[in-house]
Amino acid sequence: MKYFNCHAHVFNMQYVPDNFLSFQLNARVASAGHWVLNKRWLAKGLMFLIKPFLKANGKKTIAFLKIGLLKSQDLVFQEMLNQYPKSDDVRFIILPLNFKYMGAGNLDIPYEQQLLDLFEVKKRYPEKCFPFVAIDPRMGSSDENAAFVARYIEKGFSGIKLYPAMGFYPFDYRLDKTYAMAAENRTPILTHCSKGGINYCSTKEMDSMVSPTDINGTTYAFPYDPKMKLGEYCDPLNSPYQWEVILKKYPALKVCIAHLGMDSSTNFNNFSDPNKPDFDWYKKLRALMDTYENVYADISYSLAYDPFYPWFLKEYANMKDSVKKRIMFGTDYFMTVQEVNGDENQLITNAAQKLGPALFKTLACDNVVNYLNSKTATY
Amino acid sequence: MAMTTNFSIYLDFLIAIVFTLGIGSIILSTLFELFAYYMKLRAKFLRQLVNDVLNDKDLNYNYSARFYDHPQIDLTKKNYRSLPQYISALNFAQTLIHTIVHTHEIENEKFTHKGGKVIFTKIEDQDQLVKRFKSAVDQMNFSDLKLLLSGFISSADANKEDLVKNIGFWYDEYTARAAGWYKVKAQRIMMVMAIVGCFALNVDIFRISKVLIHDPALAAHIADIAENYSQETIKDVKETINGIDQLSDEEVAARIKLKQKELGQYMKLLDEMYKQNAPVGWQSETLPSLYDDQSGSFWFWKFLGCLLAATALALGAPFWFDVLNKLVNLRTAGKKPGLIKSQTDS
Repeated sequence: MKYFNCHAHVFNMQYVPDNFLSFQLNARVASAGHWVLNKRWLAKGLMFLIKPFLKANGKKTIAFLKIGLLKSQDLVFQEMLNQYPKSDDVRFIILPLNFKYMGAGNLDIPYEQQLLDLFEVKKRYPEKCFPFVAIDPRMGSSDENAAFVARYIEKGFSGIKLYPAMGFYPFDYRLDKTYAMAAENRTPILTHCSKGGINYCSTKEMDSMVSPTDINGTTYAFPYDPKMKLGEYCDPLNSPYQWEVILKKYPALKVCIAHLGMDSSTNFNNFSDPNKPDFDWYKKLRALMDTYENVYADISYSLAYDPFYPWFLKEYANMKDSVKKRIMFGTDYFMTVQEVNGDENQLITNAAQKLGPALFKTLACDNVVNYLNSKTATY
Repeated sequence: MAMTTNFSIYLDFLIAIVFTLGIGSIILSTLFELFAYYMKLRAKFLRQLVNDVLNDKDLNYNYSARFYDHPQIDLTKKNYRSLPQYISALNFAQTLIHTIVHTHEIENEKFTHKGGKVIFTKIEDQDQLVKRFKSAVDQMNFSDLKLLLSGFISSADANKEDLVKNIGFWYDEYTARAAGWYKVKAQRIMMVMAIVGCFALNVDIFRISKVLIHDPALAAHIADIAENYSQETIKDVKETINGIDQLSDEEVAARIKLKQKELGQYMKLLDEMYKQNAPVGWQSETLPSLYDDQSGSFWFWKFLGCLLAATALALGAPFWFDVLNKLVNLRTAGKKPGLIKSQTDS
């Protein structure tokens, strides 16, 4: 059976900025961490020394770092592919990220080179690798951003990736032409949507967050309180609420709002209690899916938590048929490797078992193909 | 007669101290070479050189990363994480041309997806390599690298061999200059190693001098060993230290094996020179109590002694063996013919 994993990453440490870890750690600790990671012999030695003393979570973090430290995207892709049964006809939507504007220092390898290298992964695995192109409004003007995306879609990239928590609102006016073009061509967009994760990690150059202007020309004010954690300040950038204004203007826009159910760190392991106010984002997402027939969602990362499946199956049973056609299967490789049940092979086996063959086919094949199909490409 | 004896004692002392420093310098440089080999300093330095030229990330791409990922370089590595210690001019030129051409020709490639089928298309370029290279360079944004590559193209006159030769010739010149920079870097690392080593092992020039001054027989014994130390070995010391930059990966690996063996021999020689009682190490010296009045002065001279020893060792074996050569000639010239003859006979 042909099926898709609609949410996977294969970028490695060479594409992230000098102080990438500072979104989680103090900048100096992050800098020291990078120094160690760049000295592979030291990183390897330290991992070897501390491994026996680590609990399961620590070992998972090491497994995650090991993948991130692989030499190329090609090797990360191979590593991911090896997790799948050889008999499976599996395809992957590969999502690059543009780390340039996240306020974590310089990139040694420019973002366009990451795309170039990803294109070479596609050349090696043409039938399995379906890369998207990531866009950040700060890359240029509205016209320049649309032209950038158009160039890569023309090259055979299958859609557009957004990661707002890196420092912009998805309704940023510099994405207007990109949305117009995507709506016109039915080009799929996938946006990150969870609290936590990677976020903007500097207190400088915050204009795109503090006083953003939307695609209709309205300017907002979201002052930053230095006492606030940057991660918490950036969380709302990912919110499905930000898509309301975009979808009103471009109702035909095909957008997947990722990580269904991953509203808050407090409910990661508590899907059994959907009445918690933390499920606000999920409710908004459902409302958007009910209103706009091109809004999709995926279950990536959420599926790494055991309580997710019973909660999801119950919710799915109550969805309208038209909404059921817009839920997709994805894993968020290799981010999920950090989770206790996050081995890719384990995730696939679990998903196939808990969703059942029919639902798995709907989520991993039919719905993803519908999502990917555009005016210029059919899958 | 007394003056001659005193002169001889002082000369023996000088020879002994210079020879000790010479052997110490060889040990230090050998340790540095082993350190440089295991820490891949040379390979990293080469990578930095290539990066300085080919990392054009602000205006174009980081061609350096793609250059090192190119199979022509990648396959010369010991394993996929290591770096090559040496890249020949021909290999550099060919890989550079192909990296630039390949990077920009990707821009003419695309995939289309129709009904589940994936179709790959590229604009086939039938042109000669030089034309393709020129076309790729023309696509680059203006930068120092573009200027450099344009220079190679214009002086190649559309001839592939000339293009490869031009790039190779430039690379040879560049790395030849860089060998000097590497030596400066190596000197700094050796200085740090010498300081750390001298303090850790209590290598104190004043302590060594004191032992040799108070024991003229020991100084004479060391001077005798120094005198017998062959001129050939001294020449070898100079050549091997100056020649490392020209070696390939395999030659360096073989040389490192030899160095490991030699390190043991030099340590043994040092031990023999001082009759298994070399004046180094903290355990062999009585240290004053912290409450002792003399403690401050002792540690001041200890610090100075170790620092001077480190500086002297970092001057390098060739320097000390040059000095040694002159002192040994002086010693040989001052000896009675009969004594020289009897030494030769034995």
